[in-house]
Amino acid sequence: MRIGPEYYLVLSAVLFGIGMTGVLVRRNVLVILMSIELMLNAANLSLVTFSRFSGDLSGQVFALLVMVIAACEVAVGLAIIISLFRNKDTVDVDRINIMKW
Amino acid sequence: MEDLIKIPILSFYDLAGVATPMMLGILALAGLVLDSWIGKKKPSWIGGFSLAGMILILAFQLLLHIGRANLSGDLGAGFGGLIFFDLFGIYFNYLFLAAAILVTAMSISHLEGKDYNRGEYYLLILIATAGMSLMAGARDLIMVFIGLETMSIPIYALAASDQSNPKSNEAGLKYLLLGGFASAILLYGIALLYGAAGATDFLTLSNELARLKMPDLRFFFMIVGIALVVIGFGFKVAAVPFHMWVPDVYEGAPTPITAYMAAGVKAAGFAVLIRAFLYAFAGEWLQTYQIIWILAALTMTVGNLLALVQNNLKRMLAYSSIAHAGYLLVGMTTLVSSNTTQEAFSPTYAMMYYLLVYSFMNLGAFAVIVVLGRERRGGEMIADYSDLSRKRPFLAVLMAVFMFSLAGVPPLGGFFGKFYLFLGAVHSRLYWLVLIAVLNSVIAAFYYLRVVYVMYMQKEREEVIQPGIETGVLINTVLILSAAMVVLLGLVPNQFLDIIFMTFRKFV
Repeated sequence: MRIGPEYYLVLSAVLFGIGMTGVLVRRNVLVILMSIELMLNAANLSLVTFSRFSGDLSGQVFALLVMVIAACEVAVGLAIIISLFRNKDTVDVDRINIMKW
Repeated sequence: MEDLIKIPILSFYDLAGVATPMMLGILALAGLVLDSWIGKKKPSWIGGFSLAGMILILAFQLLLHIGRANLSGDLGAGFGGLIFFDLFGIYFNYLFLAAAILVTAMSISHLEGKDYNRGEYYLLILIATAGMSLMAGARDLIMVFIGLETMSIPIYALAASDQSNPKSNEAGLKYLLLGGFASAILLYGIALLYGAAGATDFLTLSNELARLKMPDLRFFFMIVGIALVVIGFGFKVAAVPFHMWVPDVYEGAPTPITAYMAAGVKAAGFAVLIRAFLYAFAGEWLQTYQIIWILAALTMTVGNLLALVQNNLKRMLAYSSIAHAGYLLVGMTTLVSSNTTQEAFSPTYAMMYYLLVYSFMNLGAFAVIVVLGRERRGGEMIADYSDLSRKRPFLAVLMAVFMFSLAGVPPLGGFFGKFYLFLGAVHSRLYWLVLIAVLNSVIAAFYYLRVVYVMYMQKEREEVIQPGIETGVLINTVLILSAAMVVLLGLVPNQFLDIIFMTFRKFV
């Protein structure tokens, strides 16, 4: 059986949906950050799929760049979460509410 | 595989396109070396170093500008087609550098004696500015995304830089989570556009997208892709309904960083939107203009109505920044609804002018907050400003100038900014939108003038001035420069517009 692009694209859309639901529904900051990563990787999968099936390499290169950027974002994100945890002793977004959310 | 082997040799023009962000990056690295040396004892020296470096880079823009203006032909694309080397980008580089210089000067005053006064703070501002410069020059969606993240990630860290203050932590975290969410949405949109067009550079995109027709699956990819890109940038420029993060982040972040977010990030976001709609989505203008119409009307109204009830000045300015994003979206609607490229230029000029005026009046208003924050406890609540006219008459006059300009009172810059935006919209027959915008300006005048009223009419109950702190020379320079620009932009708008027009003669 030949696996066409649609399988990958549907998988990517599903991953994106799971990530988006995670951001909107979960209350733990770390899980939200992971869900954002899932959304970025869903987009990466789309980029690689389109690139593979159209024979144009720029999508693959873009996916590599996105991985680097995602790593930077996580590094800064974890640093901010640690500095928040030192002050407030919580990673629950519902309790991070000095200003209204 | 043939294409892979042909590696183009970098020419002078390729490098000229990325010269500004590259120099900012080198300055940041040099600052990092200097920081490991003297940063522990004298962190404000790093600020001085980056200030001096940025002034040199600003002067270098003049050379680039003259150089570009004398070029002819289509030397627009540089760096392997990733970036435009054109006067539009150089105009925004001027804006970003001026904003970054004022913010750095403000920060040196603001951070004096505070426990988060570190060298890295100033270097992160440099890197964020490099990101903005890449965004304004981007000719490819890849570069748009990289520029956006190069700008955003340092600003997440800067918003949280007051580590011992839970409010600042919270601001950084909220900005990071919602900014990251927006970036992911934007990236998915870019991926779908790549799927629809098979390329990511603006010119190929516009050619390919114009060819797509209804039943094609790729047409569907294009519509969803453009929608996701607009949502992603809606978050960055603070358009309603993607504005939830703005008030909290603006309130919690250190004041100079709030000023930078209002001036720099918004301008960078609009620079990309203008470019994307002028080039990449060129064939699809008419289909998206109603959506942006609704976004503009919502953004203005919600921003202004919520600003009315705020007692914290930073929070009020946050809602005002949402409202101003709405006025700029009126310009965007005009741009998107125009039928030819020539017709789209006039709203573009208006938006460029407005962004310049808006940056200076906002930087000035936030600089006043910095001054009061140094001298008294707070300076963030509107009540802190009572009777300012008697105690600090000069400061009160400057604040009044910024507030009048934000409200759009002639003959200050803010008035002409709005005037040109709304005039363009009238020419495009968007009468209802202009009506909503004018009504909103009336509402907005109320809360800006309330600050002036408190400063001049209200008597203060008790003195809370902390003795022994002088207003720094740097912060005074920032105040006077911003006020001078706001007044000058209002008194001689034509001269500034001429510069912008000249910028545009070779835009295409």
